[in-house]
Amino acid sequence: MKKTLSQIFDEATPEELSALSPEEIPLEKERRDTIFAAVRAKTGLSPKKKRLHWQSFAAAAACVCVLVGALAHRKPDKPDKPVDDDVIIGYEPQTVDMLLSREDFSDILWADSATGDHVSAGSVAGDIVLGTNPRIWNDIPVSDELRAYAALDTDTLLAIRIARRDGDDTKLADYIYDGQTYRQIRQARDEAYERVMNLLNAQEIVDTYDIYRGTDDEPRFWEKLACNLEDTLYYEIKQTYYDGIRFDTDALAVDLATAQAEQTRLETLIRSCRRAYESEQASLRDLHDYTVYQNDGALVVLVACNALSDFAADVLAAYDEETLSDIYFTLATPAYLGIALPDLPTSDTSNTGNVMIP
Amino acid sequence: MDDAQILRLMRKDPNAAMRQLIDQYAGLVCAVVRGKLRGAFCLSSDIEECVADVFSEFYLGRAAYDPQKASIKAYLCVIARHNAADLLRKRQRQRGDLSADADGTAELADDLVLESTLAEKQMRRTVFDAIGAMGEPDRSILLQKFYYGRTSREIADALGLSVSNVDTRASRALQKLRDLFGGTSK
Repeated sequence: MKKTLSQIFDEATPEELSALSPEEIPLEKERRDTIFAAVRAKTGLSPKKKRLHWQSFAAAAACVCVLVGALAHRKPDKPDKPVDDDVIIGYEPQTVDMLLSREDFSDILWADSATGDHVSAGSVAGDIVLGTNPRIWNDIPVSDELRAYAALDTDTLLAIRIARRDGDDTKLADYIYDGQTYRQIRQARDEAYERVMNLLNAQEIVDTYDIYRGTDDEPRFWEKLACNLEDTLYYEIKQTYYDGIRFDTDALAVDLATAQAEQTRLETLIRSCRRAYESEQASLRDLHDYTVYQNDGALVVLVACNALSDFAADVLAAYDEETLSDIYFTLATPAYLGIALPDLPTSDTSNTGNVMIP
Repeated sequence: MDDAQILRLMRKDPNAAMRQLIDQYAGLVCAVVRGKLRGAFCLSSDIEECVADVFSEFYLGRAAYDPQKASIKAYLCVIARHNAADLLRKRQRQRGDLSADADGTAELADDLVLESTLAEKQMRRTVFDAIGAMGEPDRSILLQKFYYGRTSREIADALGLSVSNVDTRASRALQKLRDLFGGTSK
């Protein structure tokens, strides 16, 4: 058996290579940042939400009390629980965080109804632990749909999220924002991106050209260029920036800066458009939900969870980092609680929106 | 940060863990990819894309990673080498380059052909043991030259040696392997 050393290295398994312990090599921060950004785009990774402040816990506690009260009100025939067990929706910030990171959160939340023997998705959502398969929650059977959702593993969720982010923009394709449809803005962004990439390639080519010219191997350079680039791009670059003697690097730099600025503008427009769309849909849904559930004791839970999902959609649409505390304050705002439980006695609903339950 | 700490962080905050992984190993992965693609006229954006693919692949397939079997560093290097080989083959197909080997691997001009009757896995282990036993800087020179595909000039700069010293040491190290296994210089 004959092998070159390179081939032997090619075929090495991680276990075998561990023995050689290759040394770490530094890389400039700028390039590491570029790579990290690309990895995030490819994997759908997003920054972890910030930790809660003490005010958030106060708001969360108030919210939990409201939910508890509503559920107790809804199921009066249930056997009384000891005082210690009063907090039956003891959702953890971590669980909520995981729920919020799911783009299909809203769909799942509204996939079930609060009728019959099944508990509503909304009332369980705060308590559910991903990766489990709960059949009973507080002595109430959990729907198959909700169990299927809870049983999904992280990789599947990630795949769903990536697929949605990359491909499923159909529902807002015709949404008009800033005088253009979402589809038009996306198309313009894609064209700008293509142009930026071409110009970056051109810049790289110009740098390479200088090296080849320095070694009197210009013909080889043009040959390699023609081999490696699309014909149209090759001629376009040549025609635009090469006068037969040298490249016009200044013109190239200006064009690149212009194209990058345009791409950034369109990226921002896309985010704003998505945000506006989600916000509009959320308002419509609130109205619909209120009509459907107004006679149901679970209304408070559903409205509160809807507030959560709206916020999640907003965060996801913008790919921004937000504080979880904002979510809790949203949950406990007088506006939501006023709709949800008009008869609920409150001691103070001013300023912060926190609600104290007597 | 060691592997165990990174894996713990990965469970707690994947975003921060991937940032740490990239800060720690992007240079190494970049070197492996660049070495494999040397001479293939790839743009630096191609290399960065390939490196990003390596880390994405690690993240998406992290469930399959077994820390008992290999270090994260070695695991990343192997993914990098495979991905770079794929990219190289793609580039060669685009160019219609028939001069490359059937499997598309580009070999360095001064690479060494080893001949052995040992089974492949055993041969690799023996070769790596032999390289590991060489001591510094010979071990680093062989690794950098044939794994990262660095030039003698780059290795000399990195190790603070002269180019001729690097070449001489590389040549002697190859001769040692040749003596162990038999074979010829290409």
